[in-house]
Amino acid sequence: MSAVESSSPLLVPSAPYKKTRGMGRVGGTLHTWRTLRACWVLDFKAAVKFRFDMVIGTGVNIIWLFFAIAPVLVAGKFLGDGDGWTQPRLLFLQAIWYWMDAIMWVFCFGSIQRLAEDVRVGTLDGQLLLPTSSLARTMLGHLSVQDLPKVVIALALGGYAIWAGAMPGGLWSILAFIVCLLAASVIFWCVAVFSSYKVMTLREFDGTVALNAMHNLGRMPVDMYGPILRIFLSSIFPVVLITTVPSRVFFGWSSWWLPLVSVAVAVVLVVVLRLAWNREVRNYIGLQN
Amino acid sequence: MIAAVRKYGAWVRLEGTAVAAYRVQLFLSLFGWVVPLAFMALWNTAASNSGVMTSGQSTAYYIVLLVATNFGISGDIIFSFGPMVYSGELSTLLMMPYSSVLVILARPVVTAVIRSLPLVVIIPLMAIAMNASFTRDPLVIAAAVGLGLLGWISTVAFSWLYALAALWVGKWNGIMGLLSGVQWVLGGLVAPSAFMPTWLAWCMRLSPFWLAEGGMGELLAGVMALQWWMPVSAVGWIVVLGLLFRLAWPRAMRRFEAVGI
Repeated sequence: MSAVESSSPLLVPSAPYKKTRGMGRVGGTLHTWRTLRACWVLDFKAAVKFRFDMVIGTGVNIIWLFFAIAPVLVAGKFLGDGDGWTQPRLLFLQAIWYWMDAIMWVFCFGSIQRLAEDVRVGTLDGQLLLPTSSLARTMLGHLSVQDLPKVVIALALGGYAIWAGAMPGGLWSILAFIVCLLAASVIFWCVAVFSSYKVMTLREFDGTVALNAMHNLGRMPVDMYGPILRIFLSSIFPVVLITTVPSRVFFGWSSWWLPLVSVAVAVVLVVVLRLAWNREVRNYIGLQN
Repeated sequence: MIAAVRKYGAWVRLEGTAVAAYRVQLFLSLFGWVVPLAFMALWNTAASNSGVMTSGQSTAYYIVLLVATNFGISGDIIFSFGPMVYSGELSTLLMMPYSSVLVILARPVVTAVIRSLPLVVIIPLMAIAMNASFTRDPLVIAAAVGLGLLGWISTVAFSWLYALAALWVGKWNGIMGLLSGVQWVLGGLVAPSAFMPTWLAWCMRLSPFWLAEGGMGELLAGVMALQWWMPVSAVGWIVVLGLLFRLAWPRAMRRFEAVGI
């Protein structure tokens, strides 16, 4: 009996596959990455057939962006110094918030819906048998191409905010900001997966409320909330790392170690998520059972 | 008439039982809607510099909006009517022995009521913890709640009319969602009308959405006094939208072909 047959088929295969030329070890990181890329290319090809929808969708997204930033545009006139949060700086924070919106729609919502559907109809069983990381394949393998223009819109808004006066603190601030933004994106994705992975073993589960709450509370700097909420959002429910910390780092308002905290939290969350996911997969009994 | 009311009551109870099975999920969904909290944080900072309202008043305003938006059912109407048409579920509902307009409203209303139950505890706690400053004039409070109810009815009528577009437009989701954005501005979620440019403030005040949300908030926070045009606007919208609906509904039903369009 081979090593593969002897292990539970629903466990993520990680061990004795052959190394194939140019692909890395089957089931390894490189192979998983290539599989993801192949999935995304397929999503792109499918989206090309509906390109007109994408154009309409982008128009709707731009209009929605104006609704989303309208409070900042109006309140900005009355903020004064606002503890440093001037209108351009708040617009920069809105750009980061919109970046997270793009992450949510491009990577998270489609995967969450598909996971629930795969559990319901039983197609998850087959996916778990594939020799790649089931977490990456299931929760990153589906790309919502229709929402990709949101990334460009977020960058454009960020560019406008900088032009309007939200200047960076210096070169190191920009580099640290990029690190913080990537870490925040990973944290946000982890929260999205945490909010939905239990659907594998519970019949009715939808934790996206946590994702929505984190996303919506990130619309404003955590400094602006009341003291109790500020403590909560900076500790148990780390909304502060999603939009406030990257903004503060960009403006050069933070200590040098703050980006390291973001990266550390992201790494810890990924490790815990992998453990939780593997445990959930072990408890998943599949439709055939 | 009495028989029809009793039958409709039975239908509402049935929907209530079905929705109550997911009550925990509904309670949790309440905590996902925190947009008024985020905007409250912004306006509390801005209000103190504005001279238009105090931060206590802006807190009171957004607390009212938190309640009003949770009781709002525009989104439920707009986003549930299209799938009912395309799946054919509407056919069954049209066979019910009472108004098919009301039958579709039962589920969103019951959902909103159950979803908002935790607010009975949350709102007083928030008001105390955040020093919200409400008006204490009982006449203004009664008028604000009454006008809010009229505003709610006109908002529902407007959403119904908008939702009927699903019978003419195939790909409607994104475009239909734009109404929510318009409602954010005209309803007063983005900012109290007192902060808006004059032309936009009057567009807000004379829209069917404002009294249901921002208008009630401004009255209860003591930012605005009662005005004669408020009930006129509310009743006027209900009459106009009711007449439009009477014209649009038969035309929409002629477009409906049992399953799909």
